[in-house]
Amino acid sequence: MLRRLPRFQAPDPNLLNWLIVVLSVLACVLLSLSRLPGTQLADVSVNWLMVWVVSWSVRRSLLQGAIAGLILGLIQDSLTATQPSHVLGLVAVGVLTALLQKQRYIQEDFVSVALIVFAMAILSETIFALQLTFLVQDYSLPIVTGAGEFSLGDSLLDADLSQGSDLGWVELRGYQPAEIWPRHQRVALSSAIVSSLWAPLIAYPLNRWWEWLERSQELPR
Amino acid sequence: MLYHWWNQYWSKTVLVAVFLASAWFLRQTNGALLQELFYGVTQPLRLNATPPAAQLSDARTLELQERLLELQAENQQLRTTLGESAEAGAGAVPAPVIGRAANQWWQYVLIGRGAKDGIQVGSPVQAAGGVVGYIIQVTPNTSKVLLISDPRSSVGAMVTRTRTQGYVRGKATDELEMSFFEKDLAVTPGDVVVTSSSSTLFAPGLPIGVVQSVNQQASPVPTALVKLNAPIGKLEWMMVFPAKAVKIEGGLGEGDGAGSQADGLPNLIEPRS
Repeated sequence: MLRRLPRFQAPDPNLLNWLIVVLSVLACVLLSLSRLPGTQLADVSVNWLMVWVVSWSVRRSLLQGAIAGLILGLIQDSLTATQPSHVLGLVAVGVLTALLQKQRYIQEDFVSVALIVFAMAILSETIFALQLTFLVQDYSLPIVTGAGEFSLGDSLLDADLSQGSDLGWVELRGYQPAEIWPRHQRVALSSAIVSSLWAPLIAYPLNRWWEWLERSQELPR
Repeated sequence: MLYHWWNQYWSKTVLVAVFLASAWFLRQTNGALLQELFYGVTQPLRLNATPPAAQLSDARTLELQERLLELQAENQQLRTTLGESAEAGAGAVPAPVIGRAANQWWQYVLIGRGAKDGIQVGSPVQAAGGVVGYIIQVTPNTSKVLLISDPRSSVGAMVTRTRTQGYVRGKATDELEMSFFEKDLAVTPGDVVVTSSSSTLFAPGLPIGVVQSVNQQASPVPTALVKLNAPIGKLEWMMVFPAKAVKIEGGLGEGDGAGSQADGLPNLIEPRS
């Protein structure tokens, strides 16, 4: 009689694993759009997607780190703007984190994950700032039409105005070279501090789960 | 050999391909699905989902408001007499701020009103204090506002006292940089900056901020630092004016990504020589 009762079927751990992967990425996406109290320092908030890439890559291969960086980079682009892209920075973060792990310099404990996140936050913000500096800032905002000569989001390049001026008018748009590096300093440092403080929230549960999964699959069936 | 590799890794390869394709799809649609998801998830958290009533903090404000109403009515009458179209001030949609930019360099906010409320790409957005930005992406329930403080935003502006024309560009802080079209300026700190009549996005005369300092020597044109009136980092509600949306071509995704060009969006600047 008892045997007839449906036995509790543990879900396939691999399937469950991918579900957890997808849901944790989604959680990071939602967190990065919000500004929870305590996650900000000097108006700079945690780079949640970067934290996820680090958490993933500490126990994986170079290729796996790179793929995670690519996918999350595309997602971050979708949330902000595609130029400059976040892909480059996050791929570098994934690859480097995986490399560090390969060298066995560090272990997967709280402190080392926080340290890696600190360094990787600075790295990814630096790559972004370099892109801002060296790529043509071809911005990505809509064209306004139907107003004669205007082609700007909100332009003053009215023929009357620019012809009346003796300045050879060129409109400046986007970050100016002199603004990028001071902002980088502030963003990189604040983001590194605040991201490494919050990193365990993502890294700890995920890595405990992956550790458990690994061990359970090593057992003889 | 390839066969063996495929046998061993086909599931992972397929999975990675699916993830990559989904990420690419999100990128092409500017994360419209993620925005809607964010809206849905944060819905229960928005307890005070009513716009704050206009607070008449003291008698002086009250007095100024009454005088403003009087002047607005008079202005309206004069415009009608002159045969100009009356200013379309109606139809503002109050919208709660639900989210912010997902990186530290750009200045966006997500608001909890979208296409269902008639908001379009190009609709100007205001808040207490004046102009705050305009809509660059719309999903059914949310929209993305490019704040006036974003370095990529540039808005036609004018100094009220001297009628000096220029434009303001964001600096990713609560200050804007105003560039002028002329060299010898009579602009001084304390002057009020409003949107100018050559602005295609905003009605003329909307307050923006106050001049903090003037740099006559800046190259190629004189500039001024303008402190924003609106507390742009702390705004909880904004007013969107769907009726005043400017037609925008090839915009930041109309939801299906059809209009957007592969690597981002068309350039706004048409260089002039």
